Amino acid sequence: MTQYTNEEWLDLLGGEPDQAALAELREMLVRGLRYTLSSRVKSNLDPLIEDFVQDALLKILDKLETFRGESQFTTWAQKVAVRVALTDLRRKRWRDFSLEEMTTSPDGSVLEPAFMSDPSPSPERQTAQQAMFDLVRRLLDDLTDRQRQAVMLVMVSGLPMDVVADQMDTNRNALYKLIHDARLRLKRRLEEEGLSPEDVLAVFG
Amino acid sequence: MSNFTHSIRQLIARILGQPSSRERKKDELVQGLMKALRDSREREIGCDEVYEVLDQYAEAVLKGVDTAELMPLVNHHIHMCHECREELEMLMEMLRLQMA
Repeated sequence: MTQYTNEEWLDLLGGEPDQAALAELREMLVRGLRYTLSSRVKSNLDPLIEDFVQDALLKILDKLETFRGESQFTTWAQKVAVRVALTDLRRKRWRDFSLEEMTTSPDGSVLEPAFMSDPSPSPERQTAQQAMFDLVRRLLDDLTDRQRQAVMLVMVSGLPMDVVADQMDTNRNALYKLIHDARLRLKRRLEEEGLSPEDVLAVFG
Repeated sequence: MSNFTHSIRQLIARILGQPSSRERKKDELVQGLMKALRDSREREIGCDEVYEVLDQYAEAVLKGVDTAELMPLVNHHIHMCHECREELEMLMEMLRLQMA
């Protein structure tokens, strides 16, 4: 691959893009995505990669003026491709997911998430631990409805933030801030109970 | 209260309150939450701000720079955010391939 400087890349791709430079960039992205996605995706990769690279190239050309030259241009371009690919894969993986279906079965009862499917019998409860469970439940109850949804779906059920953000009609950045506010609120409430997160963790240590 | 809000409350109750809940998983849930609270900071940046500098950050990591010292807010966000961490890891894999 030709070793262009950042300035040369910008000159070559700005305005009417130089087709040879565009082809080199494209080849680099295809190679990188094929290498990194082969361990993450089981289905036929080539059509996916074609779509990702096409989308990434459009974004790169569209956002060219936002490149500030504080990294290698090729690193910046690969960052764009990574975001395109992973966001799309997360959405595809959870394509048929909906919040209502996640939490409610057809008869209206709450579905158990995967982490509750352990069939082993419960051991005798430890009084201190049960007190902590009750406390956490009360703390979660003090969150706003949206904070509680976000915490439960992202932090407890482990759904990708991109997917939850779509479902909650927000974006990933705003969802992170919502969860950040929720974490701080939970922490303050815990402190009001005279406890720190370390105190609670010690009970389970 | 909306049906969904009600469902979320029921979900919490099922996990934390019901006798049939599995102790080990409940432990993991509470511990996961508490670790996140322990590591939370008053000032955190969002995914957009991290994305802006993810390319610089990845190059710094590959150069062996102490990113906790140089970019502490980004470093902390990467620790807290699974999605940004996954994007950083994949970007670094691509950069290593390019350097090979």
